[in-house]
Amino acid sequence: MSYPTIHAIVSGLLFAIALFITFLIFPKGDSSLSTRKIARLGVLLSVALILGLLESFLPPIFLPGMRLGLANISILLVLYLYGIRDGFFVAILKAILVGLLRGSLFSMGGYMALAGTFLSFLIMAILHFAFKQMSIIGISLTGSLFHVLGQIGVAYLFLGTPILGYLPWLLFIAFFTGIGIGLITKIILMRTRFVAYLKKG
Amino acid sequence: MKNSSAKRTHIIEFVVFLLILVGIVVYLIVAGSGKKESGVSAEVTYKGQVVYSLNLNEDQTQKVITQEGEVVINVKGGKIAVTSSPCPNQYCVGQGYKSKAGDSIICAHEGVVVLIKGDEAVEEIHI
Repeated sequence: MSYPTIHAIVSGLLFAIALFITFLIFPKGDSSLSTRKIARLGVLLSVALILGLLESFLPPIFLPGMRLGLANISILLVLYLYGIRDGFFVAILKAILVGLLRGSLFSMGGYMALAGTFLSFLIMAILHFAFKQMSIIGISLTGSLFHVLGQIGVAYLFLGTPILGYLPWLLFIAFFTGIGIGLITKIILMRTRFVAYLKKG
Repeated sequence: MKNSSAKRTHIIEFVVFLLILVGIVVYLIVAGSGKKESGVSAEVTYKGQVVYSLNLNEDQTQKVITQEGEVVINVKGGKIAVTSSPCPNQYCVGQGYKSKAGDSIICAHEGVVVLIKGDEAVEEIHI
C-alpha cells in the first residue's frame, strides 16, 4: 500500500469511529448535561490539554514517542467521577485538541495519539465497568500498555516492521509510567472534599 | 465479605501484571542477548518507498529530500548514521552510527527509515 493511501484510510477510519461513537453516546434530545457539569468537564478537559501540551515540550526520556501520560490523570478522574460517556468525550477531545495545538493532528504523530487514546480509553472503560473492584492503578497500567499498542499499530502501518523493535521497550517503560499515573490519580481521588466538590450538581 | 473479594481481585491483578512484566523483561533479555552479525547493506525508505540501497563497505553521504527538509545519511567504515534531520527532536541523529544487521534508524517525523540488512543468505529477523 502506498503512503498516501494509508494516510487517507487511517484518518478516515479514526474520524469515522469518533463520529459514530459520539452519536452513539449522545443520543438526540439528551439533556443530562447540566451547566455545572459542562463547566467542570471543561475544566478537567483543559487540565488534560495543558498537561498533554506541557508533556510534549519535555525532552524524551529515552525513546521516541515516549511520554509520561500525565493527561491520563484527568481522563481517569472523569471516567471515575462521571462515567464512560463523559470520559470518552474528554479523552477524544483531548487527543484532537492537543493535535491541533501542536499542529500534528493530520500527521503520523497525530494519528498515533488518536489511536492510542481510543484503545487505552476503551480498555480502561471496559475494565472499570466489568471488574468493579479492580484498582485504579491496575486500570491506569492497562490503559498505558494499550496506549503504546495503539500507537505502535499506527506507526507499523506507516513505517513497517522496523518500528516493532521499539515495542518491548515502550511497553516496559509504559508499565512504570502507568503505575505512577495510577498512584497520582488514586491520591487525588482520596481527597474526598475535592471529589465531592467535583461530583456535586 | 465485600472486602475479601476486593482483596482477591487485587491479588489476581497483581499476579497478572507481574506476569506481563516478567514476560516483557524476559523478552528484552532474550532479544538483547542474541548475537548480531554486522550488516552488509542498508535500505533507506521514505514514506514506504525504497529510495536508496546503500553498500556499507563504501563510504558515502546521501540526502533524502522530504517535505520538511533534507535528511542526510552518512556511511563510514561499515557503519551508517543519520547525521542531519529537520525534525525538532533529533532522535534519529541521536542514535549515532549503527552497523548490526536488523538495526534500524527511524526518523518518524519525516517518514524516513534506515534498515540495515545482513547477508541475504541468513534470513533471520533480529530485533
